Amino acid sequence: MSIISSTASPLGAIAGATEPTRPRGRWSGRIKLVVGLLIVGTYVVLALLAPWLTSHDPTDQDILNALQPPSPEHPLGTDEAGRDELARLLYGARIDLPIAFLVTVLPCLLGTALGVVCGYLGGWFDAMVMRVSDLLQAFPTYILMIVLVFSLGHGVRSLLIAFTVVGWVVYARLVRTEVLRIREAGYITAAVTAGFRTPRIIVRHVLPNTLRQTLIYLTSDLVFAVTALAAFSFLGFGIQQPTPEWGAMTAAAQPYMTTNMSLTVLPGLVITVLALGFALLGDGLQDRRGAR
Amino acid sequence: MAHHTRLAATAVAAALTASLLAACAGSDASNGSGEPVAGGTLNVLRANPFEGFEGDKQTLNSSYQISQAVIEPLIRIGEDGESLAPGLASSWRYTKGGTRLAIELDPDANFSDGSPVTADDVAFSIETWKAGPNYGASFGSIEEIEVVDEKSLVLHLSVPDTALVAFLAWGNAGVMPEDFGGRSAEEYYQDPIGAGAFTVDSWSANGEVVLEKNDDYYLEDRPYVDEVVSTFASDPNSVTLQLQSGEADMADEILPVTAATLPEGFAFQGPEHLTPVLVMNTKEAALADADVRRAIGYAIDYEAIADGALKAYGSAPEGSLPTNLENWAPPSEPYFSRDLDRAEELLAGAEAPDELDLIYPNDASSSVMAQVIQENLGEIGIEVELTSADAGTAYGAMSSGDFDLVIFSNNAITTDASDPAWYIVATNTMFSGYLTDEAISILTDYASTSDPAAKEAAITELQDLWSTEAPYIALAHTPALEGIRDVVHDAHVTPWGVYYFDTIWKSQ
Repeated sequence: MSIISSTASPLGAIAGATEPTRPRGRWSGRIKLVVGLLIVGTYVVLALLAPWLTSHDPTDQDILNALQPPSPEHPLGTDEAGRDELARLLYGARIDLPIAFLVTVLPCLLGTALGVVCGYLGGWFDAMVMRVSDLLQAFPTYILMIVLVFSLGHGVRSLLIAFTVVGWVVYARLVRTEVLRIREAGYITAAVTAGFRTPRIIVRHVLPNTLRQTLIYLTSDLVFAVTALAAFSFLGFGIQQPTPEWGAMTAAAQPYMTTNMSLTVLPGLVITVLALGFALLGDGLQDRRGAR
Repeated sequence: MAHHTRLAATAVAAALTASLLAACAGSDASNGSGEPVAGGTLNVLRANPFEGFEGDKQTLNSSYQISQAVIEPLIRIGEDGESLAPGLASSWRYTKGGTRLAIELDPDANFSDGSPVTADDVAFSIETWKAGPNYGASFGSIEEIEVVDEKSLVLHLSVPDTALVAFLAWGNAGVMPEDFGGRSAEEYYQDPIGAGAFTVDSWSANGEVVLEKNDDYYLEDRPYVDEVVSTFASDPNSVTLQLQSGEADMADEILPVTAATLPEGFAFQGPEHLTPVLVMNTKEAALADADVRRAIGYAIDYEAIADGALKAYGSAPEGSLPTNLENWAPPSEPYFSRDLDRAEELLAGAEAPDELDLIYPNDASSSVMAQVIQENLGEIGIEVELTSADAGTAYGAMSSGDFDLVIFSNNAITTDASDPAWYIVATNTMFSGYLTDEAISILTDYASTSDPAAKEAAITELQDLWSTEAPYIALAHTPALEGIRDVVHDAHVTPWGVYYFDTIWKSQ
């Protein structure tokens, strides 16, 4: 057995740092990335093709045919209001995916902008933003979001506000830390010495170098967004019936768990697999970055 | 009177609670026959929190049911669920044209501490009920209480009030010892002593209420069970599993969806009585016009609600008031039924709202009802946004007037048709903001006569008023549904879903 294979030993670890772990990290990262992309891509395709994959309107009631078992007409049966379950699951992707993307991107944009400015300029603005972020982080995330959504009323607008108010903090801290490192780099010193204006240095030289880490975190944050959205709708704070939203569908089906378990399990499964897809995507990106 | 009302979530649930057994038809939920057997613990699942023992603060059937087991009212509801029966008051009679009510107390009636129930205790209790901000008005006709001797008294009434005896059977109008037995009201309600079949071992609003047998109970051989344990369980799946496993003996106010999942023989269905309603805020400009409200009434698909949302445990409404009560009578014109042409005709001459918010209790039946209404109103051009809410939030929105539409529910808590009507009046026509003067006048006429035909005419007049003005629309009439295992006998469930624990016995 060679020293290289003995990764548990310090010597092995040292050896692994130079050669063997690179390809393993790269390959496992690549597999995760591919699987994650496949899962998320499948959801996107299903969302886009929903009108062609089912002839049913996801909100059309047929109350006298509620809770029907699977049939050729309704391959996954009908829900408590007689709506086609397959159509609701497919159209649910058109609701959950864009909202999950929005509630992740908005705090990302806000947090990144604040993080860059704080990290590069420092001073009183940096101190103020960091204290506000300390304050927000002192509250449990879910509790704070529930309070916000409850105060603002249910619906997409409230969710966007709640996710943005709570979510920007991590992005700001992440980017700020990166910027603090980057601003000491030689090329930044060179840019300053060359007399470039601060906005240009930030936009052209600092920001691009923080994006990789931000993108990795954003992908992981999508996992939180997907599950949190479902949780809010499940608790009645999010999107309301009859909109085909997976969390709301799970909640509405809960009373029928002993008789129509699939109505609860299927939306739950759809949420879980999508979250897994985003998690693999984030992990894959992280692994590949580490491998580099 | 909140009794009549409870939040649709519950009320509807309860109301909706219908179950299947023809064998259990009527109000007698007995299983088989035989001689009662003493002993055992009765494990009951209640659908709502317990609001404590202070009657004036109770609004839920689960609270009345527990409360009356400890602090028993003067008069009982008969086993048929339709008549009044002697209780602590062994007899009563009206004199002087209905302006005097003479009451004789049962000579054996004692409080659970062994002291006798006296006319002074009853007088104190009546004064306490009258002083209640919520239900006090129901006893407003009592001008003076004359204590004749230790076991008899006469109530002097300001006007003839033949409906009063029904109110004396309310589960939250319990007889308490004079001056709360020397304690403060707060101390008393925390650990009450009453003349009921049980005493309080322990209680919590959202957990278990444990009642122990009162050995001094005045009714011979009662209660049969040694202990009642009432546990709050609102999840239909949990209720089903606990009943099936034998962990629970009974489940109150079960939903149709629960009833449908229970094995044959486990569910009891009473007569249709509970009435889920759609309340409209007449103070909102969009709903101020009666034509708009009536148009909404004609747009609703009542058959879809009864057959779909209520799983056929219920039927289309016959009037504004809950059915199967003494002196109930229908409106003179047929009640609302789905008629889209008529709805559009009414809206054509009115300023129709484009969008309304509908708050509904977050139970399975109300959720489907709300979605049916949403689709129905969409057909006449009114977009409805749905908001689910827990019982407290929905009630808060209603009582503060912060709503457009709410699904609520109405039921009696005693046998008389005026009982739910008085609740409607007391709540400003179910919180709709619609004026109540005319209704009060009709109800006063109702109370002042003992002629059944005149009483029915008054109820018809009331139904006509609320059909024409439509401050709220009845959505269905549904039976009380009770989950009952076959070891439970002689549970005499009233149309509104309440029963006495003391009549129940369990097979050993």
